[in-house]
Amino acid sequence: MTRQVEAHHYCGHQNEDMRQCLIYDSPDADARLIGLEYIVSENLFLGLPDEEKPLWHSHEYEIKSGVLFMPGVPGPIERHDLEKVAKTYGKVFHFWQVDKGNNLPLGLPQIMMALTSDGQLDEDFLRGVEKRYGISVNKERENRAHITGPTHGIHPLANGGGKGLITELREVDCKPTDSVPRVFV
Amino acid sequence: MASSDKSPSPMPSGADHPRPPGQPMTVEQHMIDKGAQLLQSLKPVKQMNQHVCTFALYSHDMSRQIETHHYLTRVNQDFLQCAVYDTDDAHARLIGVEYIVSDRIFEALPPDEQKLWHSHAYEIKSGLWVNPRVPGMIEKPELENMAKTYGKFWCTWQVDRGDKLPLGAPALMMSPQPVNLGQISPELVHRRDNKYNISTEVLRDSRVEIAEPEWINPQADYWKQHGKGFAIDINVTDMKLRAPFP
Repeated sequence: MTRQVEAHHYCGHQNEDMRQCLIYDSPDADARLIGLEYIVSENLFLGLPDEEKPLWHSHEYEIKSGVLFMPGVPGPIERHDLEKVAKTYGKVFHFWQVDKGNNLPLGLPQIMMALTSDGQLDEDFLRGVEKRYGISVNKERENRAHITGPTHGIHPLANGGGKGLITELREVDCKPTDSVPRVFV
Repeated sequence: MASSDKSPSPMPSGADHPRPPGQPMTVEQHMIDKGAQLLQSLKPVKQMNQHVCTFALYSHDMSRQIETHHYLTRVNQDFLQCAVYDTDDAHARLIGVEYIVSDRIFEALPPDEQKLWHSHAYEIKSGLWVNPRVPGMIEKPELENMAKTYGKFWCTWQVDRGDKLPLGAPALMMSPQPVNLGQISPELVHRRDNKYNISTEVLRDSRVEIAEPEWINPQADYWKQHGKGFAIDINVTDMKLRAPFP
């Protein structure tokens, strides 16, 4: 969790309980599409199989702390939507590790987690974002004091169950095996 | 923990509806979304300028084939990025992301990276890859470019497996090919053709003049040479932290 990236999410609703988002590395016309996120309500999250839950992260801290914001949307409207988002869970995959300096999307998808408490975010990194967007995270934090997270609290299996998650590639035989011509027989 | 080739445990009842479960959108939520749409620039999304309908196969089980709807953004002459959906309607589910590179860029990738990619020449020559409602004449120059490209497609929502919500690990996808496992089921193609009132066979004939690439790197379409596909596993690991998590 020491590698942190600024992400710009462009979201559409599937219905009231689910959104799907494209994630870009900037808000500009030449932005790189680096990943995607699915966001579900607490209700849908609780219905997920237990082995699925660790792949999802809670949003409460990101919102209450002010680090998540909607550029250009006035505070009152923004907070109205964030009251809902604070109760949700998200599942994020990044396919392009731009923070590693990769100029092409190399390797495997990475499963991303979100911030869950103070001290996890690189302060210098945050100051840079505040300056560019003319916002103050600490001030916004006070405006969001009334916002509450999931009704049943953050599920203990969410957020990787507190562990890191890594993706690995496994070679498998094509099925049915004999249908593929073997050049090196 | 999770694998692209492992079926998820069943979801609780009430999830029989084919669409993701959930309440209809409230009027209020529509208002918030409309407001944001007006106030925000949404520049990256507005760069999407092509809709491609084609087919893809799961690397770990090529008997599973899906129709895909790619919304392409050309970043430069050698690179495109696509949001991939399961249909072309307003309720389409976002099922993954594909990156497309020119042969020039592909040849410079390390071999271990190349084996995750697929070629596009056959998909285009065969008429499977279409820009719905774009006349052939207009489509042609772009198809000539595309025939030489390679793609890397991650599918994050296995809707064909019946997943109501995006479950498990991402899956690597492969492209249609003229040999055995790479051939797309005629019913799947027929259904697509009916929807757009097109004929893949007629398109194939109209594309005979599109040049076949002189060389398709055999590290791409890895299964054709090696008889192997790839599954993705998600496993638990230790984390480097700045502060306790969660």
